[in-house]
Amino acid sequence: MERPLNVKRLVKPYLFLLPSVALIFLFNYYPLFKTFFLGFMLVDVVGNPVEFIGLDNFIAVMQDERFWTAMLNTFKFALITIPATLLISLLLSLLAEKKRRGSSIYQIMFALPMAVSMSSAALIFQLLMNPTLGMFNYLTGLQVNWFGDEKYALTGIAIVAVWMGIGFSFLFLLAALRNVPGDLLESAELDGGGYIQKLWHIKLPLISPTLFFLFTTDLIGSLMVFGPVAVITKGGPMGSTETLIYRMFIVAFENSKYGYGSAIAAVIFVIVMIFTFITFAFEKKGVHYH
Amino acid sequence: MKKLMLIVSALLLTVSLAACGNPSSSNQPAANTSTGTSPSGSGSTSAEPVNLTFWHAMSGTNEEVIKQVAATYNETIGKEKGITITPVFQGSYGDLMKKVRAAVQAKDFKNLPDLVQSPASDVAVMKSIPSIVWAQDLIGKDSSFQIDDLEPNAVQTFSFQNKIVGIPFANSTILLYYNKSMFADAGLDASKPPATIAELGEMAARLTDKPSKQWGFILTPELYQMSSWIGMQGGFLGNNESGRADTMTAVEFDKTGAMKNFLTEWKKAVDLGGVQTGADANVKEEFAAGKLAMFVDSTAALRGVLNSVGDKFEVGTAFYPKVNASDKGGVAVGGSALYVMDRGDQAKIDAAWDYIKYSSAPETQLIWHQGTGYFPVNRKTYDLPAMNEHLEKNPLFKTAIDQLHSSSPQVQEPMSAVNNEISTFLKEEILSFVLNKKDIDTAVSDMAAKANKALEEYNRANK
Repeated sequence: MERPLNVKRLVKPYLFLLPSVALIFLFNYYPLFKTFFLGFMLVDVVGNPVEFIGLDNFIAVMQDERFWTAMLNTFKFALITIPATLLISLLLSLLAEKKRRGSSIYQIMFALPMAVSMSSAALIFQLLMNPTLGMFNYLTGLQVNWFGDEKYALTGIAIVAVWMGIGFSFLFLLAALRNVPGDLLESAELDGGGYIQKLWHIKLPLISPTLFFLFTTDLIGSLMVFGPVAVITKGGPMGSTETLIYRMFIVAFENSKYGYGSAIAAVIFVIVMIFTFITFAFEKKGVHYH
Repeated sequence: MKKLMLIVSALLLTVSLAACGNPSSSNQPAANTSTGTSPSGSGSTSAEPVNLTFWHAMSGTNEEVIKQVAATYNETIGKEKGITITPVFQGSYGDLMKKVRAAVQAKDFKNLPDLVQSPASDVAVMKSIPSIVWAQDLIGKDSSFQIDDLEPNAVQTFSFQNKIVGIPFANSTILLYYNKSMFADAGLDASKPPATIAELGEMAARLTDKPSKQWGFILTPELYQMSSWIGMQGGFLGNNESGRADTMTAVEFDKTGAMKNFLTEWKKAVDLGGVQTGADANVKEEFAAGKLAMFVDSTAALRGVLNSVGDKFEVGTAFYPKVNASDKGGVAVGGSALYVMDRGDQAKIDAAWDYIKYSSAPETQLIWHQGTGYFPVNRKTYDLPAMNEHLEKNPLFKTAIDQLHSSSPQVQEPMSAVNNEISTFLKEEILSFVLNKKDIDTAVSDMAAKANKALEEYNRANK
């Protein structure tokens, strides 16, 4: 009687894991391995691997000017969007932190961008930021051709992405701020601590796990940005908004070079992995878990 | 006991997940059998209903006409023969082709349509897809179809080694649109639109008023425009007759001097100050808002342009400006053809072919032309009294037809599978010359070298 139960005990957790592991293998790991495999192959227009060509695709990626431009664009995009999203949503959540009468109204308002689908938001911004007919230039008095000018297009895309990211980050930060224990803040007040001191020495350290989580997801998200680029600028003008994923998409699905596209995908995977490891190394120093 | 329950419930969970997965995967075959996957081959009885899916890329006004044509077919001939066609909008030509490619790559023939509309620039891709049934083979079995009735330029567009792949359906050429009121205001003769790039530059400069953000002409040339501007000068854009005699392996515009001629003229025009180039602009909106005097676009845009302009001003249409006044070649045929896909059911192939014949018939082409601005691909359309009436009432539509009939069938977009890439290279290098970043010879040799490399890479993988 003892034995079969033990076997069951051994098997049970794996049975629970089985559905999700199976799904993850099917939809995450299988495509990943296949992508790496295709990266070493010459693939024809119909998708058949026709010849093993070793590292040729990867060498071609490294020599491709447009790939490096796409990489630079992606880094610029990440550099604008991550700090902007975190800062703006932190400010908004500090504003909404105290529960007052009617505060649920602006809480909802701040979080609402989350409910707008990416493509609809992108299309709306395309109209708002139209150089001649749009509200954006009209209200700010700027004369900028946001998505049509090489110099501003990436910033334009970043503005859209920040707006779309705020809702999600705001929600997390608001919850984190409200979880900061009141007695800590109270004792700080008794010791004569002002608002800035409380924010700097108590609130920020205590919400740092949330900030870290948001930073990591934002980082991965912005390194893999695709949606607004595909909807608004299609990588243009003159490749100034072409990001890594968009480049991969164009190479594989518009130019029918699946092997080459797979090699780009593999390189992107490695880049994103490296950055994720770097942030996790940073976690040990900067994040305070209570 | 409790543990046993847990195990059972965990198992149930996996089973239920599998069950969830099942219906969606068995969905397709089930749908197929209901639409009649009878193995009886071509001789299947007409009593068996056939449902066809038709992927197209027509939006706005043009989509309405697509739906109207399909509905008419379903109610008349389709009803007789038991064929029902369902048009499905799949986004722009680019989006549609991405979906076709993705489905072909995944070998997902069940989800492919029976009929696809695909643009002139992608013939080379379509002909390399194994499940495409070449129209030439279908014509060979059907003596009722007269290919000689179709416009020879359009037939040539979709032919490789004189065999036609898809049947021309919605065809167009590039056309110059201009605002007659702005011409009059600038003291120009509205009945004399520019005939050459040089004249275009001069007139654009007079029509431009930068403080009020008004431009004479906006264009960043890509392969679409260059196919005509290179072709009209006489030679081909690429070798092997631009890929129609045999696979294209290199470009020729650098050796014939045609690109250099164009660049010289184009830069002169841009330097006069009335041509905006390099920035992305929505020319049709700017034109309708009276902020742009001239632009070039497909003839298929005509109905839409007229609708959005309304009575704000008078629209003029003219032949595409020439590079040199002596150019005789005319313009390339753009637009699209319909292709039949083999999904393992002969009855569907036959039905799809029947719909294609209907689509290219004179009467259908008349409705299509009136509703959109695409020229009629069937020359018999001009024998219809209603067609002559229509052209008399709407002289703007006639420009495109006259231009087509004075163009050589040899002037075509190249038949290469890397047209997207070539287009990007042309666009960037033309711009870098016009903006003084490169001298003319470097720009020409750079764009040729990049295009040749792309062709070589593609041909290496696709023999």
